[in-house]
Amino acid sequence: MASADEKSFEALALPHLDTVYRVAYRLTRDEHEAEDLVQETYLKAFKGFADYEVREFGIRPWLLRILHNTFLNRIARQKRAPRATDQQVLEQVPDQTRAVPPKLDYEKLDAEVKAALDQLSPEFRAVVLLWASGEMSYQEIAEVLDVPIGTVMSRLHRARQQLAAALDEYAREQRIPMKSRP
Amino acid sequence: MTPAELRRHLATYADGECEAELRAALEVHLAAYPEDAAEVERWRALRRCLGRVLNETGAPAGLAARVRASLAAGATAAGTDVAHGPRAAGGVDVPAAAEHRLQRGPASRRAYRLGISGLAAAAMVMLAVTLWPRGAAATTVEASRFADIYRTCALANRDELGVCGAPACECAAAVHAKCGFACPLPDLGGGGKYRLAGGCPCGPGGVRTVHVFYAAEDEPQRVVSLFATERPVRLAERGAECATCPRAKRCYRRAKVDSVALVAWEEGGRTYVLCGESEPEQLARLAEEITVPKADGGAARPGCAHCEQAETQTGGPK
Repeated sequence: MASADEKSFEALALPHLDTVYRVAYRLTRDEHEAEDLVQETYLKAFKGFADYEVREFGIRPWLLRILHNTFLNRIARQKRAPRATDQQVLEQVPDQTRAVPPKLDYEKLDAEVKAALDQLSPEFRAVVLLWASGEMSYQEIAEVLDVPIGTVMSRLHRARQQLAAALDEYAREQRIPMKSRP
Repeated sequence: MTPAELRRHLATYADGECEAELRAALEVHLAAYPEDAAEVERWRALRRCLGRVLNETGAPAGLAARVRASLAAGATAAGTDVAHGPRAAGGVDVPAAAEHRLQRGPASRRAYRLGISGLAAAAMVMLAVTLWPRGAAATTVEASRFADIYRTCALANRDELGVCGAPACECAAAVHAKCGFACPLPDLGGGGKYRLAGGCPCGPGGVRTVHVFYAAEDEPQRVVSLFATERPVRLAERGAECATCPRAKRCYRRAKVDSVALVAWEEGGRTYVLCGESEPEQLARLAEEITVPKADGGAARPGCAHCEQAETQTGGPK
């Protein structure tokens, strides 16, 4: 029989399964790996549930934070290399301060946006996933990723620039007429 | 404000994340510069597009059931972990924190901790073996958990055991390897009415379980699941007692979860649950035809067409 803890954990956490899976899938880009990651996340969350305290945004940021940490631990183990710090990540990204979203029909750009998303580094992709998929606030994303809100804004800014640049390139290749800003 | 700062603020404004003072200033600016207002709208369109792309993927069917099963198994296995495991402040990613400490800590400390964990685990096992009462009340399991697995695994033809098409009497090794305990599988329906179509180690949680499903020979889309638990469990439907049928050769506990019927009985120290889209009475009739094989190391089974055929070919029990 399910214990009271198990039942209350299920009642709180399982409604977010779709969101957790979506993020896991976009991070791993593999169905089986995503499912595995989700199961590990829920098991870890369950084991730590006794110490969990409900906060402003509910249990979702906590689940996603565990997911994110588990994912990072996995890729760190796979690479067996130290993880880049945020500053290192930012330095590796070319400056595209002039990039703005081109004038395109965003209702018909799903495939291109998906491809552009997959080109982002894991650090940037995680921010974009939470920002767009979960429609989270910057503060909520900061809580999930355990980084300052300024870091969230920097990563999101760079990620958006990269997305805009990729779509701009697509528009040029397709010779779609547009009036992009300088 | 430099042009680069303005671009940055426009994107932040599009997210509704600007401070009140900056927001007011930008609104004045946007009223005067429609090109910048259009840029704000394009950032929002890009976010909507990303949201659409990202949200088109949902959790696969059956994942919820599998997560529940793994939670239940985790809860059982880790009475020790939960009670004695290390905790991180704030309750965030506790296992990862514990793992980190174990990986990075001094060797002596690691050995000490591992030693303590090992001793604790051994003590728990010894206590469990010595003190477990023989007549202890069986775990109660909600019928809906079996029904969920029937829907998500059997109806999806999930064959993790790799037993599809195999004679039931030859699946012992696969069952033991994947489910962690020996459980001979019965034939279903007698006379070849059903064939084994797959199986998996999914259970209702809290007890190791073999789940196999059979497809009717004449109507392959008619699928019936059979669960066998390692130790007896008590089938309940939303906490209520289920009906029993004392006139049958076994005492069946029956339940219905939406369109899925369940019939459970105890035999040989296990609980068997038959589950399918049918009426409980029909399933009880099917259950009456089942002869549960004894776990005797693979002796021939009376009534098993495959075993009898093997006997006639080899001159001895299979």
